[in-house]
Amino acid sequence: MNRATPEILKHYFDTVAKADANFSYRGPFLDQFTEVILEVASSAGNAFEIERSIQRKMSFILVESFQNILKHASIEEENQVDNGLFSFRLVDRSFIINSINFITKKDSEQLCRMIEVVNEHNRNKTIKEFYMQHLQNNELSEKGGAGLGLIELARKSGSIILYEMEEAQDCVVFHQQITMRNEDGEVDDIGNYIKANKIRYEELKRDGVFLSFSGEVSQKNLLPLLSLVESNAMAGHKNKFKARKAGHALIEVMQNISRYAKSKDTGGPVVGYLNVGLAEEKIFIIAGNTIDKKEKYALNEKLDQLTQLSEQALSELHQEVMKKSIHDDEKLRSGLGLIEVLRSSSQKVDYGFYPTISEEELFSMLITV
Amino acid sequence: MNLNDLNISATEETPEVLLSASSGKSFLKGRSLPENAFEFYRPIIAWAKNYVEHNGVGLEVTLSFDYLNSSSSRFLFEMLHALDQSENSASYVVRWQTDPEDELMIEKGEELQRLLRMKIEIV
Repeated sequence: MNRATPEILKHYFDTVAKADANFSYRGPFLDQFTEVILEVASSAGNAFEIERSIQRKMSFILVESFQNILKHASIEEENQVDNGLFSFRLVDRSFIINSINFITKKDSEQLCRMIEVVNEHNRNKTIKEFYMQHLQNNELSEKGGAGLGLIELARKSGSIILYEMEEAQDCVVFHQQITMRNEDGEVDDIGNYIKANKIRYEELKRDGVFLSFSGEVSQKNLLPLLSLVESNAMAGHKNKFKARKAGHALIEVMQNISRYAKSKDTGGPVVGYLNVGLAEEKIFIIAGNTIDKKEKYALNEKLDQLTQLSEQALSELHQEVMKKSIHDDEKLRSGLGLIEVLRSSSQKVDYGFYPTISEEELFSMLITV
Repeated sequence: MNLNDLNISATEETPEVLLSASSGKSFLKGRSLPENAFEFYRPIIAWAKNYVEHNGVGLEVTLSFDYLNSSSSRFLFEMLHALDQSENSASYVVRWQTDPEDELMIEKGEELQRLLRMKIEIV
């Protein structure tokens, strides 16, 4: 049953409110997504003006962590429901990368030993020597690289690798956190997100959400997110044109957030919230942004009117707005975007407004394709 | 006709464009999803207006999109509307090239047709 509701965004909003950016992807993990995740992270780094040196290291760590999941994913079953979770957040100008994946018991024992050794070297500030030594010995495991990737992760992040191994029925659930601190911050200040990540993973699974993003909504991260949504929609629909319909809805939703959130331009990045899931072979998008309380009534009224319209009436309204646009000097905001968002949904669009602790109201909208 | 060809390479978010008065064969092809499509479509609209002002005859435009966002639809319509105003519009051929299974793009082609006098061939 499709459990998606606009309220989901409110709940997620409360859990990510402290982060400048938050990205969670619940698989499937494919090599082609490495670039996608990197682009989303770089875009977050640029939006919040993170130092280049940190961004470079962050890119390396992201790629290495993601590739490690791909390399060590031992549980590869057909139609596997659980893929694990790959997430990163930007908090106080520090990047925190958390992952959850499934490994064999044998691998988990080896991995535990390796992490303990690496962490010990990091505490003793001998990680560089250990890396060189390891490189010379050139020991290779069956899956390529005797933990060289892990040593590099620890070395580049300069932080202790946090982890937890959880015994499951026929495998071990491996929880990991790599922290890339900002130049002034202390690693210990950042905190351990492993527990929060576990909860997040369970919530995303429960809600059928495979992608959850909060942060700057811009054209730069639209393209990688589009490719992620298209691939997942393709896997769900098995039809590229239906997958593109989901992509089309995503484009309109994100551009609509970007366009209207800009109206209260404060000079900072335009922040939005996006959750995409698959239920009953339909893609759903729960997206929104914060708005001034005084804007709520106008938007609510407009949506109340628009969502009452039949498919035919919306199409006629679309034609009317298009005709008028020829003589309109307003090149950015014609109102077509919102109509297009509503038209892209195969079910009546559901939406809600929720108070936040600040003077703003959280607007959330559910679109089903 | 003394009107330069307009040739624009495709990017990840904008289509490949060739508008040619000399050969008469023109096309827009690919993805069109810029946030504000006005900047991208401005030279395209200007070219179409110029073509009409020069009394261009027999233009064939093939339009083929994977994605066409609402902002692009709006300015693509402005370009087609400019051609539609020409006395020679009956001599123009606009082909909307799409896959028969692509319901969304077929619908977009039909919507543009309803806004114009000249015929759009959905192929």
